[in-house]
Amino acid sequence: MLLQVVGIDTYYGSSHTLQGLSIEVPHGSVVALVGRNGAGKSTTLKSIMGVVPVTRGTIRFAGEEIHRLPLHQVARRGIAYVPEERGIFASLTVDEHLTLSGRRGGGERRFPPRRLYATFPELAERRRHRGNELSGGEQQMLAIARAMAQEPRLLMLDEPTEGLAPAIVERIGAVLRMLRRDGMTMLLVEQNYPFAMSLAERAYVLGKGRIRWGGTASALADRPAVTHTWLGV
Amino acid sequence: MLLDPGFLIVQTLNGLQLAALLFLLSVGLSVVFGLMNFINLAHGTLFMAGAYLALSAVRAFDSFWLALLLAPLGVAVLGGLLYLVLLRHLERADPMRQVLATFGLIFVGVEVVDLVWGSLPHTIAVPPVLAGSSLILGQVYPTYRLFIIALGVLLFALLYAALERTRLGAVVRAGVDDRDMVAALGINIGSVFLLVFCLGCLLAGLAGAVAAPVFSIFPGMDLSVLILALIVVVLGGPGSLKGVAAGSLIIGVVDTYGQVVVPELARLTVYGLMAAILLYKPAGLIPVRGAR
Repeated sequence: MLLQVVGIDTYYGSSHTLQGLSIEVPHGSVVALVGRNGAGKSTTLKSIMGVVPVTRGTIRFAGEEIHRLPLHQVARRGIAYVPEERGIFASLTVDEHLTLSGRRGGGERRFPPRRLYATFPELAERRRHRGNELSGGEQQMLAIARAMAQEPRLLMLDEPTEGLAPAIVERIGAVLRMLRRDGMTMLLVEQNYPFAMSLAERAYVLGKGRIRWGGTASALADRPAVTHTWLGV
Repeated sequence: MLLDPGFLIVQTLNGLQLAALLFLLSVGLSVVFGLMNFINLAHGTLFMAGAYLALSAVRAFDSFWLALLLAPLGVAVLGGLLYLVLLRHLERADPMRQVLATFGLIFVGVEVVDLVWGSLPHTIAVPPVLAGSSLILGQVYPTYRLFIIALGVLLFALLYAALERTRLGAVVRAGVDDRDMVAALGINIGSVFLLVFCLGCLLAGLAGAVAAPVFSIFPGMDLSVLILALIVVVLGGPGSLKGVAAGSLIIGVVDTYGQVVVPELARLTVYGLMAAILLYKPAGLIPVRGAR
């Protein structure tokens, strides 16, 4: 098991956002977190990353407890995070985004800038442009490319298709499928239920800060009561 | 008076000289503010420390140039200690606590200086190479003041290149945009901040050492420059290097002319200008891209 979240509680301000939440992400799998707005999906990713503190429970990554580590240490363990708001730096060029996050040290790199630009030709054309000059779709591609440059063992994506045109959603879907074939472990938060189900092997349904259902993606398709109650589909 | 070209040239050069000092002093304040949302009112105290350390270094080694090297380094170390012992714990505190703690440091600084160096004003001699006057645009002007202007321009160019062309510069720019996201890339933003903080202190110390032969050195010499530096930061837009340069130029020149042309109103010209500019550009003249 690459990631094990066991019984975590997280408060966001004074509201009790996550209540005894547990999920598991096996090596090389794609796991989706689905649920309505405010169900606690984004907070789950932020808790794993260490952006918001967990008050109870444990988070283990590759066997090591990481829930007390500062954000940059969690990232160095091999977790890359594409936040919902994308986190693109307005004053950095596309090139700088990819070199800033590029893993330092020796060894062959899986995703050197050359390969990232081949994956996202749209970014190659804009490599000297700054973050605030990019369109929403370009920003999302850059956020994913930047995460790939970190060469993570786990890639966490928060709403990667939100607010994007269908053609861009299709492009991003193709890249994520390519990563899945490559064996990248991914934890995906999505409002776009069909998109999530087209990628994920396993799914957790969140409602009001708790796990309401967990199992394989194909089993979820046969549980209309679950999807109706907690997803409204 | 205002139509005499000689007067205009000399006063403009005086303004540029003040601008160069303000730039050195304000850069650290601005970047620290932009990067960490941290208000360090003791920044002026570091300027004063630079002047006094230069004074002691000149007395000890009888070399202005050695003093110009040692004093900023001493201030950088002092700033680093101050950060590790006190300021680090205030990073996430509310602004009122930051203001109170660093405001307190201003008084501590004045008292310490008074104890060590006494309350009488001191001065440092201009180094012989720069002691005379030069002819510029037909006007005789002190060479040392031209040196200050050149130093300001040189450091702006160096800092601009470092910020735009190096990896550390990119990390600093990214940190001003979104600090948590930098950490999420595995970069220890805390150690980057310590480095930037020390560099800012070094430049404030340099400003103090460079100003020492021009200003008189006395306990409390930091207060008037601190106010001007704060105005420069707010006017230029916190965290923006170009903003600091623009703010320094405007405040340096306007303050100089204000003192000469309408001495009765003196600083009021600067305050009035700040109010007027902020009314139209609340984020400052050259805000950081994407600043929220």
